Amino acid sequence: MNLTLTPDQELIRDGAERFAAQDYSFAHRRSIRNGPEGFDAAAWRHYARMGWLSLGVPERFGGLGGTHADRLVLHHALAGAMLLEPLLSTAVWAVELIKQSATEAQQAAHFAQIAAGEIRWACALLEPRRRFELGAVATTATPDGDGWVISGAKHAVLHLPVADRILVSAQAGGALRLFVLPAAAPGVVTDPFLTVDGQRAAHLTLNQVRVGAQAALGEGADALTAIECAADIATAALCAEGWGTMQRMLAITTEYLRTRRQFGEPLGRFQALQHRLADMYLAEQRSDSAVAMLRYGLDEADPTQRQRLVSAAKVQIDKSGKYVAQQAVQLHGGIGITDEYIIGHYFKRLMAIAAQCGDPAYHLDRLARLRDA
Amino acid sequence: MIELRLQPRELAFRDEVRAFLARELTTDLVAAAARETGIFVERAVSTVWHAKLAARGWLVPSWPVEFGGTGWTPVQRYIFESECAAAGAPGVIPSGIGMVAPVIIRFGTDAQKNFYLPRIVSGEDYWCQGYSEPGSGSDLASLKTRAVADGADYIVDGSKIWTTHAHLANRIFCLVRTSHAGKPQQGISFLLIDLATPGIRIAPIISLAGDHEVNQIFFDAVRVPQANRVGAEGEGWTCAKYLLEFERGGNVAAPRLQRAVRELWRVAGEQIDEHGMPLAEDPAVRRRIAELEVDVAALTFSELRMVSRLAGGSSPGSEASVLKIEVSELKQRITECAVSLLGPAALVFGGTVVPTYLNSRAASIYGGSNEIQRNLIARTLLGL
Repeated sequence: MNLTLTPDQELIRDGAERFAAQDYSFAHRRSIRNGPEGFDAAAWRHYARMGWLSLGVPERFGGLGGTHADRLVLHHALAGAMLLEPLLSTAVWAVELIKQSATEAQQAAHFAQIAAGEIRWACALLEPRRRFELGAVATTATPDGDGWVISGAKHAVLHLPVADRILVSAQAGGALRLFVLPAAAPGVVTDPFLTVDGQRAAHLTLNQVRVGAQAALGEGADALTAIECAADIATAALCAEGWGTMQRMLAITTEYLRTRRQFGEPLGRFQALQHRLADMYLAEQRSDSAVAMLRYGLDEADPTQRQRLVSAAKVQIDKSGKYVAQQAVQLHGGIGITDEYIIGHYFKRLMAIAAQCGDPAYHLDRLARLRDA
Repeated sequence: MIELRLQPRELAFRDEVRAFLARELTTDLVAAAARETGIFVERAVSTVWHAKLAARGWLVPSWPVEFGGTGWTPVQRYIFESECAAAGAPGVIPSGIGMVAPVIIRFGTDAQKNFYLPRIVSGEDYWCQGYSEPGSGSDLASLKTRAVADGADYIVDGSKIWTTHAHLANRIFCLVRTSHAGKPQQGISFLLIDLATPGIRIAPIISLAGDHEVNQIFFDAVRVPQANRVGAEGEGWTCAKYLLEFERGGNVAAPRLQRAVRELWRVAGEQIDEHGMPLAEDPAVRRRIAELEVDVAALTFSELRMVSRLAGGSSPGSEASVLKIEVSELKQRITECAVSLLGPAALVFGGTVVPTYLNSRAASIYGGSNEIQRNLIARTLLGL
């Protein structure tokens, strides 16, 4: 048993931490958030060069063939930067969906472009009012000549405004299937918005979007299993990032309590605040263990075990994350509620993580259901 | 439930443990363990179980191999604890094996190691802990039980309290004051005392659950050889803190808590709610129990991280405070849930659930209250 990182993972971690610390400052992030494009094209090229986009791509398609654990290490190490580029959407969601459902030829074509940093992806899977239910799909794909016509609505599609291609789930003749759409295809209507944590996203309406036969991934099998698997891997990556976010918040808050003086002494001298910080540390440690559990178990888990691990971890991260985030803001006092200071942005990042990939209620229900099975 | 992924070698070890349990863990022992509601299992039960483990060489797995340790990997240790918990085996009494032994191994003389360690393994010695006093609880260093040198001996006067199983033990390890100079911590020494020595009186204290598990001990001019001191005179505080690290962080608790959560599901399946449905189908109950599972899963990996550290030869360190809080508070939440599942049956002063809940309230007090642990985390781990 090895709960420590492999040498490869240490390299991944060091490269990512260096980038987050040196090349993606909070001020830089702010300028991207406030800019017209909503992402940094130069940073994206760096991700391609570093191999972060192809970390999960199998070696036979020119990728690095990394494990799930490797990607958890990457997303954890990048947490401090709160990247605005569609790294999770492209390198985890899209890569996993394609890997799990596409034909060899489709994989070869898409993965080459992903690895080169040529194409950014958005994955449109959830529908209005259906919360986190990946199987609740009313969008339809109807055969049209040798292609398809797709109509429907998708809810809160992350990174859609900065994506070149969209992966859409749709009902196609009795099977749930995945389709690749150019973001600029006629009939694609977007209602863009800024997410609570500063990312570009949009609600999506598909009005009779015509695509060729090649747009359908795979050869007709139902894709729900593939979608659920991809969702679990993406959820795990979010968990790793969430833990890293908590670590940053804890470190910043600890430093603040050491240096901020009131009543003639550092705040950290007051026992009520010491205990609050100790409880934040306990929450962070639980998250550390939850991510260690994922690193240890995710790669070789069968589907049921994978779902258990991921649900347990996501509940832990959301619960602990909420506590750490709320207390970090509280302990900072007034400065904690400003847009100027970084702590509030980490707060909103953890809020955004909690609003993705299933909330605690969703995952607790899944855990209880898996137990019944 | 979260299960560890095991390598073939580890699966073979698991089968070995299962074969041992199938052979040695009698239904009587399982029934006795299931009846147990206290902090420690009854001595009559632990004596039998310790002997079987000792015969197999598995009683003191985390000791150095030269003194009888197994040299297991962290995963082996975890497999062993998990299998014992799953089979319903009694817990091992920690006061000798997991508390005084690490101190003797680290700070004791060769003569002390050679005398005391084999007697712990053989069951000849049954230890209890003399730390708290009536006037010294969380402020342990203020302790007043004094040991005054008299020739080759000390004369010990004072009192110790909350002494678990003192009425069943034959030896006690004690923190005593050998000097009033300097800071309170500086005048403390660590003494090993034979409870058969004249001048010792033990009085029972009955717990909320109605059990006699803890005691107060009175020392009246008790003569103890100075050779029974571990470490130098006045340096007992170092031994005391080292022992506390093991008391707080040296155990593996998650497998037993996992079993307790499984029991919650079973009970919830038997109770019928006001809609005529099993409680186990009530969404609020399901989420509550599932949330406990989530925290047991995190604890499992927190303990694995600790076991890995111990296997590397380190002591638990300040991180022990984290595990102490997590284990005690999780245990309390699980037993609290068990009581709520009982409904009106929780009125009955008896059975196992209600006394277990009552006794679990002690978990956040003993071993240094959880408030003290939070002080330690703030000071040593966060640097406040």
